[in-house]
Amino acid sequence: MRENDFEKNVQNRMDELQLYPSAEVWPEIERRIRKERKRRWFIFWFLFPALLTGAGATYFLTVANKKPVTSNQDQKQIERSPVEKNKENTLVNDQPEITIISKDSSAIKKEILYAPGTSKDTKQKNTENNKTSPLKNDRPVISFENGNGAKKKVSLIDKAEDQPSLITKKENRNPANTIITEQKPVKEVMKQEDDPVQVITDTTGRSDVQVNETKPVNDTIRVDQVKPVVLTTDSSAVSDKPAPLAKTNKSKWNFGITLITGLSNRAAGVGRGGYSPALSGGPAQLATYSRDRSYNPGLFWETGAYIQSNSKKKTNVSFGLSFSSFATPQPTGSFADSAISADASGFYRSGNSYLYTNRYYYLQVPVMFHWQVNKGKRFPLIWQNGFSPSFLLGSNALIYNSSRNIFYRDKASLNKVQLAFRSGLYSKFGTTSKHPFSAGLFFNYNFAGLQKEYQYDRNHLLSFGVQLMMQLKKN
Amino acid sequence: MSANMDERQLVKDCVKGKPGAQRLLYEQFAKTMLGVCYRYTKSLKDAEDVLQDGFVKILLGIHQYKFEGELGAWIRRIMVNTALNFLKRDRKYRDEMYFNEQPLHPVTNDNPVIILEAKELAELIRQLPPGYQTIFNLHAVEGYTHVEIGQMLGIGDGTSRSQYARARALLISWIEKNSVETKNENYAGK
Repeated sequence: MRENDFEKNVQNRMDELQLYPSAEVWPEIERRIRKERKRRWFIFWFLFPALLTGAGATYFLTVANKKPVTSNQDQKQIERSPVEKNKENTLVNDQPEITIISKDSSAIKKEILYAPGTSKDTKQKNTENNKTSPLKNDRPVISFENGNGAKKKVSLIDKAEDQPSLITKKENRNPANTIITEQKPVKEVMKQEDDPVQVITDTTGRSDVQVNETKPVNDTIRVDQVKPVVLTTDSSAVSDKPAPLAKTNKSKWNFGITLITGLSNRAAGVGRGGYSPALSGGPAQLATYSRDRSYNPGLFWETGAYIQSNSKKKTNVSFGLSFSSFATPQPTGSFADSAISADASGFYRSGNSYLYTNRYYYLQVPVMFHWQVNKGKRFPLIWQNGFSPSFLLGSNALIYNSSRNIFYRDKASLNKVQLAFRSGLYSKFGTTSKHPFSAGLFFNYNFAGLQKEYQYDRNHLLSFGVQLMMQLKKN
Repeated sequence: MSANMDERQLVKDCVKGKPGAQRLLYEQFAKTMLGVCYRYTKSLKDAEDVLQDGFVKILLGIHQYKFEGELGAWIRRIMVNTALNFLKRDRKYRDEMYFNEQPLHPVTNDNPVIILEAKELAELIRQLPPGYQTIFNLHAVEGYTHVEIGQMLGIGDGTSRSQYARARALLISWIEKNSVETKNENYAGK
């Protein structure tokens, strides 16, 4: 109990202890907070978009570009194992049929003719083709499966000179009565099986079709009894009608990143003439006039990403998302360390002893229309115009209080939403390269005033500079 | 009620990052918190460094304050933790932060009358070896239990207890000595 009394006494006495920190402590705290905030902003607005852009670029450059330009059906077929293919590609029919599997079934239908007696030198050509065939099969064989599941292998034997046979238009390149499958599976099958195997080719020479398992040839079927069928994994595609054109993954949009840098300043509103102190009159007005003119040009930069329509026409449209920073330095007097509002921990007196840099950070969503003004394809000159809704993310801008003749921060008096007009002229370079880029001039003007209530002219952000755009995905 | 409402608004403005509100919060608590920091350190400069670190943490993490408990207590807790981190980080404190077994000072009076001013008492606390000073501050002034102190400093609660007993005995002897001197001065003055 007595022990607790001592502690209580000490505690009470220590609660009374108050010391005044030196004047340097708060500015240092404020500086460190600002620095930390900047660091966090940097992490968010640079690293996050950079990661996002990197991920997008990686996707477009690796995954998307690796996809072959084939139909979805063929894509599925390619991904399956040879064993699965054998199972699926064997057509079950009551009547014996030639099975042809192709990436481009329409092409095969065009190339393979089933025309009895259309060529007098069929046999000769077949013989020549057989000689050139890597399989060295002098008796081409077609395998198929009947309704009972039994596999049959059929030799394509010409009954006579005038008998019909399976021919192609380009016999000099590929065996007429064969469909070449991918070389590797065919060879593998041939190694496993000594028996001759069916090898069918399309005229494009692409290796598409695998060979079914083989059995000794027991039956011989006349070619004129054989009905050619194009087989795909989709049963609905088994038809005499031409198959639909293969879908491609060619995107209608290009994806890229942009970087703009230049100068920014405050400008008068559109349609407002220069300020006339004579009309307003009075020395006070003259003082504010000079204050309104005292903004200097500052650094402007913007970075972001965009998607642009991939039209072959002369006009295109693009949508973007970017972060932009505007600066407008201005001379002020000395700083007074006294909180005058929740936003302001101090204020600047009027004067020229200090150059304070007002900064404005915006998130922009530019919608731009691009028009190619020349006919050149190598160095196309493109004029872009558009609008960009902008959202104020942060600002340290000083607001002028004319009654007290001081400058202080007051974020609440700034317009949070802006609409900017944008224009630019640029040319494309490296259009044949994988990542073409564009460079040119850029102009930006904010329609809405910076401050909600501003009695002078220069209340609009204006910026101009150079812009660089790099296309990450080219179609 | 009005003060609480003001405090709530102040915190909300600080969460929004309004510099004026941050400055007001600092001005409201800086003096008391410097007193806290002063007790844990050996110089005013170090105390101001701790104060600076603490307020940077507080103003950047003010959104974590959920209006549960007093704002002053929340700020004080952060300041004490910042002071402990400072002591662990700063070499001159870290090297002296040993908890050696020193002989107990004989204590004649368990509860001496403290006629010293707060600043004088704080000066005596600051003259304790860093280990004693820290544990005394945490237990006697902040009210942490020995188990909590053990967890905070990475020592056993028994060690904390014995160190505190030694610190307390030493401080009482100094208070008594100081009180006698003060009395003598007063008599001499008369």
